[in-house]
Amino acid sequence: MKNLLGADLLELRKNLLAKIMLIALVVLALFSVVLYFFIPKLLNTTDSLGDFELPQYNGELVTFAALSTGNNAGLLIPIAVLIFVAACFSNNTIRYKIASGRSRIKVFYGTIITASIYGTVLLVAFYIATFALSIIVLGYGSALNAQAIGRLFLALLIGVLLFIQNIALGTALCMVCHKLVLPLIITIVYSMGIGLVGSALYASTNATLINTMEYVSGYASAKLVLGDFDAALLLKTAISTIVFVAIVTIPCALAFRKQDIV
Amino acid sequence: MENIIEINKLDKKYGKSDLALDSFSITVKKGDIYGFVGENGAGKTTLIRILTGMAFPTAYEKAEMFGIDLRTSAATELIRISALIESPALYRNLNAYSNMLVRCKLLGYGKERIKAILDRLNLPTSDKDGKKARSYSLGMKQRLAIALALLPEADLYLLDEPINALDPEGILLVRNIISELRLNGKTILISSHILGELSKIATCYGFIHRGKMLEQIDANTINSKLLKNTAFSLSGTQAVIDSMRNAGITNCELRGNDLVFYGNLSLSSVIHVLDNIGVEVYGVNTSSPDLESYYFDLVRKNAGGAM
Repeated sequence: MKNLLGADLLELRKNLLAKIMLIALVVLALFSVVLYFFIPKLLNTTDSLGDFELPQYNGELVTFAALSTGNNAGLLIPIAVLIFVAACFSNNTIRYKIASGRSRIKVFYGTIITASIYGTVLLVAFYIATFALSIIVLGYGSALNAQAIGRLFLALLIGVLLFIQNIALGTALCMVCHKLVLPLIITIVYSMGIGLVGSALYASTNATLINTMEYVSGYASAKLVLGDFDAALLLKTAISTIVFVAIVTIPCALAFRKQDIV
Repeated sequence: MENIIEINKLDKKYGKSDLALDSFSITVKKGDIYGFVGENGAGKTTLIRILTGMAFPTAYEKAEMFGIDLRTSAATELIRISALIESPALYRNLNAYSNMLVRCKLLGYGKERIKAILDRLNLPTSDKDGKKARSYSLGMKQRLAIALALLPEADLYLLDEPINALDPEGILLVRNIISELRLNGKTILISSHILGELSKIATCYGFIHRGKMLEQIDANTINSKLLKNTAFSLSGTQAVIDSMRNAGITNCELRGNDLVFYGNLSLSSVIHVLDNIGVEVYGVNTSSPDLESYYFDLVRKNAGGAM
Protein backbone atom coordinates (compact mmCIF):
# COMPACT_ATOMS: atom_id res chain seq x y z
CA MET A 1 0.00 0.00 0.00
CA LYS A 2 2.91 2.33 0.81
CA ASN A 3 4.26 2.10 -2.75
CA LEU A 4 0.78 2.43 -4.22
CA LEU A 5 0.21 5.69 -2.35
CA GLY A 6 3.78 6.80 -2.98
CA ALA A 7 3.37 6.36 -6.72
CA ASP A 8 0.11 8.33 -6.79
CA LEU A 9 1.54 11.14 -4.71
CA LEU A 10 4.66 11.21 -6.87
CA GLU A 11 2.46 11.51 -9.93
CA LEU A 12 0.62 14.40 -8.27
CA ARG A 13 3.83 16.12 -7.24
CA LYS A 14 5.14 16.06 -10.78
CA ASN A 15 1.83 16.98 -12.37
CA LEU A 16 1.70 20.58 -13.50
CA LEU A 17 -2.09 20.54 -13.38
CA ALA A 18 -2.01 19.90 -9.63
CA LYS A 19 0.24 22.91 -9.14
CA ILE A 20 -1.99 25.05 -11.34
CA MET A 21 -4.95 24.03 -9.22
CA LEU A 22 -3.18 25.20 -6.06
CA ILE A 23 -2.51 28.58 -7.64
CA ALA A 24 -6.08 28.76 -8.90
CA LEU A 25 -7.38 28.19 -5.38
CA VAL A 26 -5.20 30.96 -3.98
CA VAL A 27 -6.54 33.29 -6.68
CA LEU A 28 -10.07 32.17 -5.83
CA ALA A 29 -9.38 32.93 -2.17
CA LEU A 30 -8.26 36.44 -3.08
CA PHE A 31 -11.28 36.92 -5.31
CA SER A 32 -13.64 35.73 -2.58
CA VAL A 33 -12.11 37.97 0.06
CA VAL A 34 -12.28 40.99 -2.22
CA LEU A 35 -15.91 40.18 -2.99
CA TYR A 36 -16.73 39.92 0.70
CA PHE A 37 -15.09 43.32 1.16
CA PHE A 38 -16.74 45.18 -1.68
CA ILE A 39 -20.21 43.66 -2.08
CA PRO A 40 -21.68 44.77 1.29
CA LYS A 41 -20.28 48.25 0.77
CA LEU A 42 -21.73 48.40 -2.73
CA LEU A 43 -25.16 47.02 -1.88
CA ASN A 44 -25.54 49.03 1.29
CA THR A 45 -25.03 52.29 -0.61
CA THR A 46 -27.87 51.46 -3.01
CA ASP A 47 -31.57 51.14 -2.35
CA SER A 48 -31.72 47.58 -3.62
CA LEU A 49 -31.90 46.09 -0.13
CA GLY A 50 -34.40 48.60 1.26
CA ASP A 51 -33.91 49.00 5.00
CA PHE A 52 -31.91 45.76 5.28
CA GLU A 53 -28.21 46.23 5.67
CA LEU A 54 -25.65 43.53 4.89
CA PRO A 55 -23.17 42.86 7.70
CA GLN A 56 -19.56 43.80 7.18
CA TYR A 57 -17.80 40.50 6.90
CA ASN A 58 -14.72 39.90 8.96
CA GLY A 59 -11.82 37.52 8.55
CA GLU A 60 -13.23 34.98 10.99
CA LEU A 61 -16.54 34.54 9.16
CA VAL A 62 -14.95 34.58 5.73
CA THR A 63 -12.40 31.95 6.78
CA PHE A 64 -15.11 29.64 8.07
CA ALA A 65 -17.13 30.25 4.90
CA ALA A 66 -14.19 28.91 2.89
CA LEU A 67 -15.04 25.46 4.24
CA SER A 68 -18.44 25.38 2.58
CA THR A 69 -18.89 22.21 0.55
CA GLY A 70 -21.68 23.69 -1.55
CA ASN A 71 -19.91 26.46 -3.45
CA ASN A 72 -16.57 27.94 -4.51
CA ALA A 73 -13.74 25.67 -3.49
CA GLY A 74 -16.32 23.17 -2.27
CA LEU A 75 -17.09 22.47 -5.91
CA LEU A 76 -13.72 23.20 -7.48
CA ILE A 77 -11.78 20.84 -5.22
CA PRO A 78 -13.84 17.72 -6.01
CA ILE A 79 -13.55 18.63 -9.70
CA ALA A 80 -9.76 18.77 -9.45
CA VAL A 81 -9.60 15.53 -7.51
CA LEU A 82 -11.91 13.60 -9.79
CA ILE A 83 -10.05 14.79 -12.90
CA PHE A 84 -6.92 13.25 -11.39
CA VAL A 85 -8.69 10.01 -10.42
CA ALA A 86 -10.46 9.57 -13.75
CA ALA A 87 -7.21 10.17 -15.64
CA CYS A 88 -5.97 6.72 -14.67
CA PHE A 89 -8.83 5.27 -16.73
CA SER A 90 -8.60 7.64 -19.68
CA ASN A 91 -4.81 7.13 -19.76
CA ASN A 92 -5.17 3.40 -19.08
CA THR A 93 -2.53 3.72 -16.35
CA ILE A 94 -4.92 1.85 -14.03
CA ARG A 95 -3.33 -1.22 -15.65
CA TYR A 96 -0.08 -0.55 -13.84
CA LYS A 97 -1.80 -0.47 -10.47
CA ILE A 98 -3.66 -3.70 -11.13
CA ALA A 99 -0.52 -5.36 -12.49
CA SER A 100 1.55 -4.20 -9.52
CA GLY A 101 0.74 -7.27 -7.43
CA ARG A 102 -1.89 -5.69 -5.20
CA SER A 103 -5.47 -6.82 -4.83
CA ARG A 104 -8.23 -4.81 -6.48
CA ILE A 105 -9.52 -3.81 -3.03
CA LYS A 106 -6.14 -2.31 -2.15
CA VAL A 107 -6.01 -0.48 -5.48
CA PHE A 108 -9.50 0.88 -4.83
CA TYR A 109 -8.89 2.11 -1.30
CA GLY A 110 -5.42 3.31 -2.22
CA THR A 111 -7.06 5.61 -4.75
CA ILE A 112 -9.63 6.79 -2.19
CA ILE A 113 -6.82 7.64 0.22
CA THR A 114 -4.79 9.48 -2.45
CA ALA A 115 -7.85 11.43 -3.53
CA SER A 116 -8.57 12.36 0.09
CA ILE A 117 -4.98 13.51 0.62
CA TYR A 118 -5.04 15.56 -2.57
CA GLY A 119 -8.38 17.13 -1.68
CA THR A 120 -7.19 17.88 1.84
CA VAL A 121 -4.04 19.58 0.59
CA LEU A 122 -6.09 21.74 -1.76
CA LEU A 123 -8.58 22.59 0.98
CA VAL A 124 -5.88 23.47 3.49
CA ALA A 125 -4.17 25.67 0.90
CA PHE A 126 -7.45 27.44 0.15
CA TYR A 127 -8.25 27.79 3.84
CA ILE A 128 -4.87 29.25 4.76
CA ALA A 129 -4.93 31.58 1.75
CA THR A 130 -8.43 32.78 2.66
CA PHE A 131 -7.42 33.28 6.30
CA ALA A 132 -4.27 35.21 5.43
CA LEU A 133 -5.91 37.40 2.81
CA SER A 134 -9.00 38.09 4.88
CA ILE A 135 -6.86 39.23 7.82
CA ILE A 136 -5.16 41.70 5.53
CA VAL A 137 -8.26 42.95 3.72
CA LEU A 138 -11.02 42.60 6.32
CA GLY A 139 -9.28 42.22 9.66
CA TYR A 140 -10.03 39.17 11.83
CA GLY A 141 -12.98 40.74 13.63
CA SER A 142 -12.03 39.61 17.10
CA ALA A 143 -8.87 38.95 19.07
CA LEU A 144 -6.64 36.48 17.26
CA ASN A 145 -5.60 34.70 20.41
CA ALA A 146 -4.89 31.05 21.21
CA GLN A 147 -8.60 30.29 21.56
CA ALA A 148 -9.30 31.79 18.14
CA ILE A 149 -6.46 29.77 16.59
CA GLY A 150 -7.89 26.67 18.26
CA ARG A 151 -11.28 27.38 16.73
CA LEU A 152 -9.71 27.90 13.32
CA PHE A 153 -7.95 24.56 13.61
CA LEU A 154 -11.13 22.83 14.85
CA ALA A 155 -13.06 24.31 11.94
CA LEU A 156 -10.46 23.03 9.51
CA LEU A 157 -10.65 19.50 10.93
CA ILE A 158 -14.44 19.47 10.61
CA GLY A 159 -14.19 20.93 7.11
CA VAL A 160 -11.66 18.30 6.01
CA LEU A 161 -13.93 15.51 7.23
CA LEU A 162 -16.89 16.96 5.34
CA PHE A 163 -14.84 17.31 2.19
CA ILE A 164 -13.61 13.72 2.49
CA GLN A 165 -17.22 12.55 2.33
CA ASN A 166 -17.74 14.23 -1.03
CA ILE A 167 -14.36 13.16 -2.36
CA ALA A 168 -14.92 9.55 -1.31
CA LEU A 169 -18.30 9.56 -3.04
CA GLY A 170 -16.90 10.95 -6.29
CA THR A 171 -13.81 8.76 -6.26
CA ALA A 172 -15.74 5.58 -5.54
CA LEU A 173 -18.11 6.32 -8.41
CA CYS A 174 -15.18 7.12 -10.72
CA MET A 175 -13.54 3.79 -9.91
CA VAL A 176 -16.71 1.93 -10.77
CA CYS A 177 -17.82 3.97 -13.78
CA HIS A 178 -14.25 4.35 -15.16
CA LYS A 179 -15.25 7.81 -16.31
CA LEU A 180 -15.30 11.39 -15.08
CA VAL A 181 -18.52 13.10 -16.10
CA LEU A 182 -21.26 11.10 -14.39
CA PRO A 183 -19.45 10.74 -11.04
CA LEU A 184 -18.63 14.45 -11.14
CA ILE A 185 -22.22 15.44 -11.81
CA ILE A 186 -23.48 13.18 -9.04
CA THR A 187 -20.90 14.51 -6.59
CA ILE A 188 -21.66 18.15 -7.35
CA VAL A 189 -25.42 17.63 -7.26
CA TYR A 190 -25.09 15.77 -3.96
CA SER A 191 -22.80 18.46 -2.55
CA MET A 192 -25.09 21.31 -3.44
CA GLY A 193 -28.24 19.42 -2.60
CA ILE A 194 -27.18 18.27 0.84
CA GLY A 195 -25.86 21.78 1.49
CA LEU A 196 -29.24 23.31 0.63
CA VAL A 197 -31.06 20.82 2.81
CA GLY A 198 -28.71 21.51 5.68
CA SER A 199 -29.04 25.26 5.33
CA ALA A 200 -32.82 25.02 5.18
CA LEU A 201 -32.97 22.89 8.31
CA TYR A 202 -30.55 25.14 10.17
CA ALA A 203 -33.42 27.41 11.13
CA SER A 204 -35.17 24.59 13.00
CA THR A 205 -35.37 24.83 16.77
CA ASN A 206 -36.34 21.18 17.35
CA ALA A 207 -33.64 19.81 19.67
CA THR A 208 -34.02 16.17 18.54
CA LEU A 209 -33.86 17.17 14.91
CA ILE A 210 -30.80 19.33 15.54
CA ASN A 211 -29.04 16.49 17.34
CA THR A 212 -29.75 14.11 14.46
CA MET A 213 -29.04 16.57 11.69
CA GLU A 214 -25.58 17.28 13.05
CA TYR A 215 -24.66 13.88 11.68
CA VAL A 216 -25.67 15.03 8.20
CA SER A 217 -22.89 16.74 6.29
CA GLY A 218 -25.03 19.55 4.84
CA TYR A 219 -26.26 20.61 8.26
CA ALA A 220 -22.82 20.31 9.82
CA SER A 221 -21.44 22.40 6.97
CA ALA A 222 -24.06 25.10 7.56
CA LYS A 223 -23.14 25.24 11.24
CA LEU A 224 -19.46 25.34 10.42
CA VAL A 225 -19.74 28.15 7.90
CA LEU A 226 -21.74 30.28 10.34
CA GLY A 227 -19.22 29.73 13.11
CA ASP A 228 -21.71 27.73 15.18
CA PHE A 229 -19.56 24.69 16.02
CA ASP A 230 -17.74 22.99 18.87
CA ALA A 231 -15.72 19.84 19.62
CA ALA A 232 -18.95 17.81 19.79
CA LEU A 233 -19.60 18.63 16.14
CA LEU A 234 -16.11 17.35 15.29
CA LEU A 235 -16.89 14.01 16.93
CA LYS A 236 -20.26 13.73 15.20
CA THR A 237 -18.70 14.65 11.86
CA ALA A 238 -15.96 12.05 12.34
CA ILE A 239 -18.59 9.37 13.02
CA SER A 240 -20.75 10.44 10.09
CA THR A 241 -17.71 10.51 7.79
CA ILE A 242 -16.68 6.98 8.73
CA VAL A 243 -20.23 5.69 8.25
CA PHE A 244 -20.81 7.59 5.00
CA VAL A 245 -17.49 6.56 3.48
CA ALA A 246 -18.14 2.93 4.42
CA ILE A 247 -21.66 2.97 2.96
CA VAL A 248 -20.46 4.54 -0.27
CA THR A 249 -17.18 2.75 -0.78
CA ILE A 250 -17.83 -0.83 0.26
CA PRO A 251 -20.37 -1.65 -2.48
CA CYS A 252 -18.22 0.19 -5.03
CA ALA A 253 -15.08 -1.68 -3.90
CA LEU A 254 -16.86 -5.01 -4.23
CA ALA A 255 -18.06 -4.04 -7.70
CA PHE A 256 -14.59 -2.88 -8.74
CA ARG A 257 -13.13 -6.17 -7.57
CA LYS A 258 -15.08 -8.09 -10.18
CA GLN A 259 -15.17 -5.61 -13.03
CA ASP A 260 -13.58 -5.96 -16.42
CA ILE A 261 -11.48 -2.89 -17.10
CA VAL A 262 -11.39 -2.33 -20.84
CA MET B 1 9.35 -27.95 -21.04
CA GLU B 2 7.31 -26.02 -18.52
CA ASN B 3 4.07 -24.45 -19.74
CA ILE B 4 3.85 -20.81 -18.75
CA ILE B 5 0.29 -20.44 -20.02
CA GLU B 6 -2.08 -23.36 -20.29
CA ILE B 7 -5.67 -22.60 -21.17
CA ASN B 8 -8.31 -25.05 -22.25
CA LYS B 9 -11.82 -24.15 -23.43
CA LEU B 10 -12.03 -20.68 -22.03
CA ASP B 11 -15.07 -18.52 -22.74
CA LYS B 12 -15.24 -14.79 -22.32
CA LYS B 13 -18.35 -12.76 -22.82
CA TYR B 14 -18.67 -9.01 -22.31
CA GLY B 15 -22.19 -8.25 -21.06
CA LYS B 16 -24.84 -9.50 -23.48
CA SER B 17 -22.62 -9.42 -26.53
CA ASP B 18 -21.26 -12.42 -28.41
CA LEU B 19 -18.43 -14.47 -27.01
CA ALA B 20 -15.15 -12.60 -27.35
CA LEU B 21 -13.35 -15.88 -26.67
CA ASP B 22 -15.19 -19.06 -27.55
CA SER B 23 -13.95 -22.34 -26.15
CA PHE B 24 -10.47 -20.90 -26.55
CA SER B 25 -7.33 -22.91 -25.88
CA ILE B 26 -3.69 -21.91 -25.87
CA THR B 27 -0.43 -23.34 -24.59
CA VAL B 28 2.68 -21.21 -24.31
CA LYS B 29 5.90 -22.90 -23.27
CA LYS B 30 8.66 -21.30 -21.25
CA GLY B 31 11.16 -19.52 -23.47
CA ASP B 32 8.85 -19.26 -26.47
CA ILE B 33 8.34 -16.20 -28.57
CA TYR B 34 4.71 -16.90 -29.28
CA GLY B 35 3.30 -15.09 -32.30
CA PHE B 36 -0.39 -14.47 -31.81
CA VAL B 37 -2.13 -13.80 -35.13
CA GLY B 38 -5.71 -12.81 -35.77
CA GLU B 39 -7.91 -10.19 -37.38
CA ASN B 40 -9.23 -7.09 -35.59
CA GLY B 41 -11.68 -8.15 -32.92
CA ALA B 42 -10.53 -11.77 -32.97
CA GLY B 43 -9.96 -11.83 -29.20
CA LYS B 44 -6.20 -11.31 -28.89
CA THR B 45 -6.44 -8.29 -26.64
CA THR B 46 -9.20 -9.94 -24.61
CA LEU B 47 -6.87 -12.83 -23.81
CA ILE B 48 -4.10 -10.46 -22.81
CA ARG B 49 -6.50 -8.56 -20.57
CA ILE B 50 -7.51 -11.80 -18.86
CA LEU B 51 -3.90 -12.82 -18.32
CA THR B 52 -3.02 -9.42 -16.83
CA GLY B 53 -5.99 -9.35 -14.45
CA MET B 54 -7.80 -6.58 -16.30
CA ALA B 55 -10.68 -8.86 -17.21
CA PHE B 56 -12.13 -12.10 -15.87
CA PRO B 57 -13.01 -15.22 -17.84
CA THR B 58 -16.68 -16.20 -18.01
CA ALA B 59 -15.96 -19.93 -17.81
CA TYR B 60 -13.16 -22.36 -18.50
CA GLU B 61 -12.12 -25.96 -18.24
CA LYS B 62 -8.53 -25.12 -17.39
CA ALA B 63 -6.73 -21.81 -17.15
CA GLU B 64 -3.31 -21.71 -15.55
CA MET B 65 -0.45 -19.29 -15.59
CA PHE B 66 2.85 -20.37 -14.04
CA GLY B 67 1.02 -23.53 -13.02
CA ILE B 68 -1.51 -21.66 -10.87
CA ASP B 69 -5.20 -21.52 -11.68
CA LEU B 70 -6.36 -18.01 -12.62
CA ARG B 71 -9.18 -18.22 -10.08
CA THR B 72 -6.94 -18.96 -7.15
CA SER B 73 -3.77 -17.13 -8.11
CA ALA B 74 -2.97 -14.18 -5.92
CA ALA B 75 -2.64 -10.69 -7.30
CA THR B 76 1.06 -10.97 -6.44
CA GLU B 77 1.52 -13.40 -9.34
CA LEU B 78 0.74 -10.55 -11.70
CA ILE B 79 4.11 -8.96 -11.03
CA ARG B 80 5.66 -11.83 -12.96
CA ILE B 81 3.99 -10.45 -16.06
CA SER B 82 4.63 -7.25 -17.95
CA ALA B 83 2.25 -6.18 -20.66
CA LEU B 84 1.81 -3.67 -23.41
CA ILE B 85 -1.90 -3.67 -24.21
CA GLU B 86 -3.19 -1.92 -27.32
CA SER B 87 -2.71 1.83 -27.11
CA PRO B 88 0.13 3.10 -24.90
CA ALA B 89 -0.74 3.62 -21.24
CA LEU B 90 1.13 6.78 -20.31
CA TYR B 91 0.99 9.40 -17.60
CA ARG B 92 0.23 12.10 -20.13
CA ASN B 93 1.19 15.09 -17.97
CA LEU B 94 4.60 13.70 -17.08
CA ASN B 95 7.79 13.43 -19.12
CA ALA B 96 9.38 10.10 -20.05
CA TYR B 97 11.61 9.93 -17.00
CA SER B 98 8.76 10.72 -14.61
CA ASN B 99 6.56 8.11 -16.27
CA MET B 100 9.22 5.52 -15.54
CA LEU B 101 9.78 6.87 -12.04
CA VAL B 102 6.11 6.54 -11.11
CA ARG B 103 6.08 2.97 -12.39
CA CYS B 104 9.27 2.22 -10.43
CA LYS B 105 7.62 3.56 -7.29
CA LEU B 106 4.56 1.39 -7.91
CA LEU B 107 6.71 -1.70 -8.27
CA GLY B 108 8.96 -0.83 -5.34
CA TYR B 109 12.02 -0.59 -7.60
CA GLY B 110 14.92 1.82 -7.38
CA LYS B 111 15.48 4.20 -10.28
CA GLU B 112 18.79 2.74 -11.41
CA ARG B 113 17.50 1.15 -14.63
CA ILE B 114 15.41 4.05 -15.87
CA LYS B 115 18.02 5.94 -17.85
CA ALA B 116 19.46 2.84 -19.47
CA ILE B 117 16.06 1.70 -20.73
CA LEU B 118 15.08 5.17 -21.96
CA ASP B 119 18.42 5.57 -23.67
CA ARG B 120 18.05 2.20 -25.40
CA LEU B 121 14.73 3.35 -26.83
CA ASN B 122 16.06 6.79 -27.87
CA LEU B 123 13.87 8.65 -25.41
CA PRO B 124 14.79 11.71 -23.31
CA THR B 125 16.56 10.55 -20.17
CA SER B 126 16.43 13.76 -18.15
CA ASP B 127 14.12 14.22 -15.20
CA LYS B 128 13.98 17.92 -16.12
CA ASP B 129 12.84 17.42 -19.70
CA GLY B 130 9.98 19.82 -20.29
CA LYS B 131 8.22 17.82 -22.97
CA LYS B 132 5.32 15.82 -21.57
CA ALA B 133 4.12 12.50 -22.89
CA ARG B 134 0.91 14.03 -24.22
CA SER B 135 2.90 16.02 -26.80
CA TYR B 136 4.98 13.06 -27.99
CA SER B 137 4.58 11.70 -31.51
CA LEU B 138 2.84 8.35 -31.91
CA GLY B 139 6.19 6.64 -32.34
CA MET B 140 7.64 8.19 -29.19
CA LYS B 141 4.54 7.26 -27.20
CA GLN B 142 4.93 3.69 -28.39
CA ARG B 143 8.60 3.68 -27.44
CA LEU B 144 7.76 4.98 -23.99
CA ALA B 145 5.08 2.33 -23.60
CA ILE B 146 7.67 -0.30 -24.52
CA ALA B 147 10.10 1.21 -22.03
CA LEU B 148 7.44 0.96 -19.31
CA ALA B 149 6.80 -2.65 -20.30
CA LEU B 150 10.52 -3.45 -20.04
CA LEU B 151 10.89 -1.93 -16.59
CA PRO B 152 9.67 -4.88 -14.52
CA GLU B 153 11.90 -7.94 -14.28
CA ALA B 154 9.07 -10.15 -15.48
CA ASP B 155 9.02 -13.80 -16.50
CA LEU B 156 6.34 -13.31 -19.13
CA TYR B 157 5.97 -10.39 -21.52
CA LEU B 158 2.65 -9.84 -23.28
CA LEU B 159 3.11 -7.41 -26.14
CA ASP B 160 0.01 -6.34 -28.03
CA GLU B 161 1.01 -4.73 -31.34
CA PRO B 162 4.41 -3.58 -30.04
CA ILE B 163 5.69 -2.18 -33.33
CA ASN B 164 2.68 0.02 -34.10
CA ALA B 165 3.76 3.48 -35.23
CA LEU B 166 7.46 2.63 -35.02
CA ASP B 167 9.94 3.60 -37.70
CA PRO B 168 12.21 0.92 -39.23
CA GLU B 169 14.90 1.63 -36.65
CA GLY B 170 12.37 1.22 -33.88
CA ILE B 171 11.10 -2.05 -35.34
CA LEU B 172 14.64 -3.44 -35.47
CA LEU B 173 15.22 -2.29 -31.92
CA VAL B 174 12.12 -4.06 -30.65
CA ARG B 175 13.09 -7.20 -32.54
CA ASN B 176 16.51 -7.17 -30.88
CA ILE B 177 15.03 -6.53 -27.44
CA ILE B 178 12.65 -9.44 -27.82
CA SER B 179 15.46 -11.73 -28.92
CA GLU B 180 17.53 -10.69 -25.91
CA LEU B 181 14.63 -11.33 -23.57
CA ARG B 182 14.34 -14.83 -24.95
CA LEU B 183 18.05 -15.41 -24.51
CA ASN B 184 17.58 -14.41 -20.86
CA GLY B 185 15.01 -17.16 -20.44
CA LYS B 186 11.93 -14.97 -20.69
CA THR B 187 8.73 -15.94 -22.44
CA ILE B 188 7.12 -13.50 -24.83
CA LEU B 189 3.68 -13.51 -26.37
CA ILE B 190 3.36 -11.01 -29.22
CA SER B 191 0.21 -10.18 -31.07
CA SER B 192 0.78 -8.40 -34.33
CA HIS B 193 -0.82 -7.73 -37.67
CA ILE B 194 2.56 -7.25 -39.29
CA LEU B 195 3.10 -10.89 -40.08
CA GLY B 196 6.33 -10.40 -41.97
CA GLU B 197 7.95 -8.96 -38.86
CA LEU B 198 6.48 -11.67 -36.67
CA SER B 199 7.86 -14.38 -38.92
CA LYS B 200 11.40 -13.10 -38.25
CA ILE B 201 11.29 -13.77 -34.52
CA ALA B 202 8.47 -16.07 -33.48
CA THR B 203 9.27 -19.60 -32.43
CA CYS B 204 5.67 -20.68 -32.58
CA TYR B 205 2.31 -19.29 -33.62
CA GLY B 206 -1.29 -19.28 -32.59
CA PHE B 207 -3.92 -18.30 -35.14
CA ILE B 208 -7.13 -16.94 -33.69
CA HIS B 209 -10.32 -16.15 -35.55
CA ARG B 210 -13.60 -14.93 -34.05
CA GLY B 211 -12.61 -15.94 -30.56
CA LYS B 212 -11.46 -19.43 -31.42
CA MET B 213 -7.95 -20.79 -31.69
CA LEU B 214 -7.70 -22.24 -35.19
CA GLU B 215 -4.23 -23.68 -34.91
CA GLN B 216 -1.12 -23.65 -32.79
CA ILE B 217 2.03 -24.53 -34.65
CA ASP B 218 5.74 -24.16 -34.17
CA ALA B 219 7.83 -22.11 -36.59
CA ASN B 220 9.76 -25.04 -38.03
CA THR B 221 6.59 -26.89 -38.94
CA ILE B 222 4.92 -23.89 -40.47
CA ASN B 223 7.94 -23.07 -42.58
CA SER B 224 7.78 -26.52 -44.10
CA LYS B 225 4.07 -26.24 -44.69
CA LEU B 226 3.76 -22.76 -46.16
CA LEU B 227 2.07 -22.94 -49.49
CA LYS B 228 3.38 -21.69 -52.78
CA ASN B 229 1.26 -18.98 -54.40
CA THR B 230 0.60 -19.09 -58.12
CA ALA B 231 -0.99 -15.94 -59.54
CA PHE B 232 -2.57 -15.74 -62.99
CA SER B 233 -2.95 -12.23 -64.41
CA LEU B 234 -6.24 -12.24 -66.33
CA SER B 235 -7.91 -10.19 -69.03
CA GLY B 236 -11.19 -10.19 -67.12
CA THR B 237 -12.56 -11.68 -63.98
CA GLN B 238 -16.22 -12.27 -64.76
CA ALA B 239 -17.54 -15.47 -63.15
CA VAL B 240 -13.99 -16.78 -62.68
CA ILE B 241 -14.41 -17.97 -59.10
CA ASP B 242 -17.80 -19.57 -59.74
CA SER B 243 -16.43 -21.38 -62.76
CA MET B 244 -13.50 -22.66 -60.72
CA ARG B 245 -15.86 -23.88 -58.00
CA ASN B 246 -18.01 -25.65 -60.54
CA ALA B 247 -14.87 -27.40 -61.76
CA GLY B 248 -14.07 -28.46 -58.19
CA ILE B 249 -11.16 -26.04 -57.82
CA THR B 250 -11.55 -24.24 -54.51
CA ASN B 251 -8.07 -23.18 -53.40
CA CYS B 252 -8.17 -19.84 -55.15
CA GLU B 253 -9.24 -16.26 -54.73
CA LEU B 254 -9.40 -13.09 -56.79
CA ARG B 255 -7.10 -10.23 -55.95
CA GLY B 256 -7.98 -7.49 -58.39
CA ASN B 257 -7.27 -8.94 -61.84
CA ASP B 258 -5.12 -11.73 -60.44
CA LEU B 259 -6.43 -15.18 -59.77
CA VAL B 260 -4.30 -16.57 -56.94
CA PHE B 261 -3.99 -20.26 -56.15
CA TYR B 262 -2.68 -21.63 -52.89
CA GLY B 263 -0.79 -24.86 -52.87
CA ASN B 264 -0.99 -27.52 -55.51
CA LEU B 265 -2.94 -26.87 -58.65
CA SER B 266 -3.73 -28.76 -61.77
CA LEU B 267 -2.52 -26.38 -64.47
CA SER B 268 -4.43 -28.10 -67.24
CA SER B 269 -7.73 -27.92 -65.31
CA VAL B 270 -7.25 -24.24 -64.59
CA ILE B 271 -6.39 -23.38 -68.20
CA HIS B 272 -9.35 -25.43 -69.40
CA VAL B 273 -11.78 -23.50 -67.17
CA LEU B 274 -10.32 -20.15 -68.18
CA ASP B 275 -10.58 -21.10 -71.85
CA ASN B 276 -14.23 -22.05 -71.46
CA ILE B 277 -15.17 -18.71 -70.00
CA GLY B 278 -13.10 -16.81 -72.52
CA VAL B 279 -10.64 -15.25 -70.11
CA GLU B 280 -7.11 -14.79 -71.34
CA VAL B 281 -4.03 -15.19 -69.19
CA TYR B 282 -1.44 -12.46 -69.58
CA GLY B 283 1.07 -13.78 -67.09
CA VAL B 284 1.79 -16.32 -64.41
CA ASN B 285 3.70 -15.61 -61.21
CA THR B 286 4.77 -17.84 -58.37
CA SER B 287 5.66 -16.22 -55.09
CA SER B 288 7.52 -17.30 -51.94
CA PRO B 289 5.39 -18.72 -49.21
CA ASP B 290 4.53 -16.39 -46.35
CA LEU B 291 2.67 -16.30 -43.10
CA GLU B 292 -0.02 -14.04 -44.45
CA SER B 293 -1.16 -16.54 -47.07
CA TYR B 294 -1.03 -19.34 -44.50
CA TYR B 295 -3.26 -17.34 -42.17
CA PHE B 296 -5.79 -16.44 -44.90
CA ASP B 297 -5.87 -20.05 -46.01
CA LEU B 298 -6.48 -21.21 -42.45
CA VAL B 299 -9.33 -18.75 -41.97
CA ARG B 300 -10.81 -19.70 -45.30
CA LYS B 301 -10.74 -23.39 -44.46
CA ASN B 302 -12.36 -22.62 -41.14
CA ALA B 303 -15.05 -20.56 -42.87
CA GLY B 304 -15.59 -23.41 -45.36
CA GLY B 305 -14.98 -21.48 -48.54
CA ALA B 306 -13.25 -18.60 -50.28
CA MET B 307 -12.96 -15.24 -48.51
